[in-house]
Amino acid sequence: MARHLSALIVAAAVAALLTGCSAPGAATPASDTATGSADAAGWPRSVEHELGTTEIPEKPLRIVSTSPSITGSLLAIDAPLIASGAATVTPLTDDQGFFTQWAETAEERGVEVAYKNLTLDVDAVDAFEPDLIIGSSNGGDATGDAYEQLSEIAPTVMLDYSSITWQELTTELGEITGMEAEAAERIAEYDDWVAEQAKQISLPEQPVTALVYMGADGSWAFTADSPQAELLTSLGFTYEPVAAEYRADDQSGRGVDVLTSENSAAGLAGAETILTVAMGGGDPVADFTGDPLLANQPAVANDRVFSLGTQSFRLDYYSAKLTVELLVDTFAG
Amino acid sequence: MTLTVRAESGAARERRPAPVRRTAALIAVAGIALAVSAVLGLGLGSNRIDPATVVAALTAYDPSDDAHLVVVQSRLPRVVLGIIVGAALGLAGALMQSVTRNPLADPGILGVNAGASLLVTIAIAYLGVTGIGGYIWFAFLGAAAAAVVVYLLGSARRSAATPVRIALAGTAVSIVLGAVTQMILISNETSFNTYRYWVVGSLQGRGAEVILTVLPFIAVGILAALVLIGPLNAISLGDETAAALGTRVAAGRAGTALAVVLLAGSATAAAGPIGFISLGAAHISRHFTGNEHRRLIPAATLVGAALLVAADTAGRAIVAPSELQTGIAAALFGGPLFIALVRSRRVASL
Repeated sequence: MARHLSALIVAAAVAALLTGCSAPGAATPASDTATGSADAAGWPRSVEHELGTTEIPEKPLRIVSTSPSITGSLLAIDAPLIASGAATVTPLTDDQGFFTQWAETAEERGVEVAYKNLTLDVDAVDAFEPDLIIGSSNGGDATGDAYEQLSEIAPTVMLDYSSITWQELTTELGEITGMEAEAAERIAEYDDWVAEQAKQISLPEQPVTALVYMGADGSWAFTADSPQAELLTSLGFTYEPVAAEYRADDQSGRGVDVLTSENSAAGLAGAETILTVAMGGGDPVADFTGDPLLANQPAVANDRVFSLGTQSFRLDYYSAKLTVELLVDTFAG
Repeated sequence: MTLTVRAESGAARERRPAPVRRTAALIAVAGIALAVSAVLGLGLGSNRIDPATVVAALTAYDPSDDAHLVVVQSRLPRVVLGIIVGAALGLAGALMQSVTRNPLADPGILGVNAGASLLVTIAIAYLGVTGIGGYIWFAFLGAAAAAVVVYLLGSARRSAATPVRIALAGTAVSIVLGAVTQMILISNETSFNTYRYWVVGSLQGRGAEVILTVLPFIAVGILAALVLIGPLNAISLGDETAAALGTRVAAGRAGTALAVVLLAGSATAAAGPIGFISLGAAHISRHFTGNEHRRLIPAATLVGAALLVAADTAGRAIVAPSELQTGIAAALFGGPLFIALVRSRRVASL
């Protein structure tokens, strides 16, 4: 509740500041990441990001996203997005490669596909005549290698969305695009809504662990500071990370702890309830409970393995809401 | 990289220690290596399990004990599958080298693995095939098609299918098939997870179903090899000599090719493409047994099994608490072994 209240206060303060000192349509004051010789409206502003510092001369009106994982957060703050790179078509996307959780919103706003299959096409990006390009420095949709080329087209900002929550990413995007108010408002609205949703949940046996089951590759369990764990905590769940001694160390720091197949049962022994992401669609609960090595895991032995849905691997405003709705449906009191 | 192939005269051969004794020594060493690796393979892994628990899991299995589950459900099938796949690969390598009289012959180098991989990928991506029972037919088909294409390319324009021409054709076909496989994968992310694990070559997570599916095919391949001992011995003397001895060379070649497709296709379907085991097992065995197939066939089969199980076990011991996939372990240990073989100038004549 305190968190919810503080978010409201922040939103109100930002809104007051905006109406107090900005002309209609003008941008916001400089923020932590936007400093320098800003004029009264906060432009030009200089943005520090993963691959350097970029000067944005004025409030962008034509943004191209080269990261479909970031596109959802741009849509959530009503940023003037004209085109986005599309992912490969999977059960997680629509038929042009936009993630299902925001594809409809993108269509309503006329966002075009800049290029398909995560195959960056610099000329196609150029053709949209963007005044700001936003991309990812790592992950499957990374375009960091083309940073110099993209920077020649328009000011380019490269973010690492994998190490922060969607709220932090949304706030950062608000500062970059001059839409701080919208970002704060969206987060506050979400917090309000989650607080309401949490009341409808009757918690299963606690604690819980959320993971992606990888079959013979074992399990990728989300860390306690991952966006997925934070989402669960905000709904009242108690989150249990995997036992430290069983973590394979090749993926640490990416929001997941990797457990080999042989170590999964021991590593997950503390979890009374397991939530598993349906990465490729299908039935992740049947896959997980069907693994003979996990037969004695408490959640498996007591039928407390549930699906976390297809949207929860990449959390943004839209997929977080869908994930919360799924959890409310599953654990309605 | 050039392989030195020495032509040996009959006199030189007689000066060697008796091949029978050398073969017996090789089989004894390979048998011990296999037994030790298999026992260690039950005890080693990403989860540390003490020897007493391993023994208890095997003698008094308690399914409510997680450690017992790991030993019986994970490590035992892995070792058994390692033996089967390694044996198939070792024998396939020896047969391919004999029938082509080519010291570079190997299911990896001659494109057979790449052919099997491509068709399995197509099966996963477009036909929704998920189980080993489905993979295996596509693996056979791909293995056979690739072998035929490589042979035709290597012997085009009525030129002789020299070892280098065949190896070049095999490498070219492998690269093309590999590129097509990647192309399919890029546009099919859903199939990627299934494929990703398979393509590295792994013995992990394959249970009794996989073993029982491939075992009959591999058994037929081994039986075919035993039946072909006579023709293969004759072919190793050269086609004309073989024909003069009354051997039906073409039929012998066709039968051997079929055996290779069964063995390499089954191994690839079961564990994904695994390199170096075929080449290594065949060369090590031939060095000790010579070109007499009554000795070579059992030796290559046993050495292949020992090499794969040893590589897999060593791989697991090195990276715990992570897992090293078998294909990577085979390449890590097989690569240096193969270089040592080439450098020793003891690559056997064919």
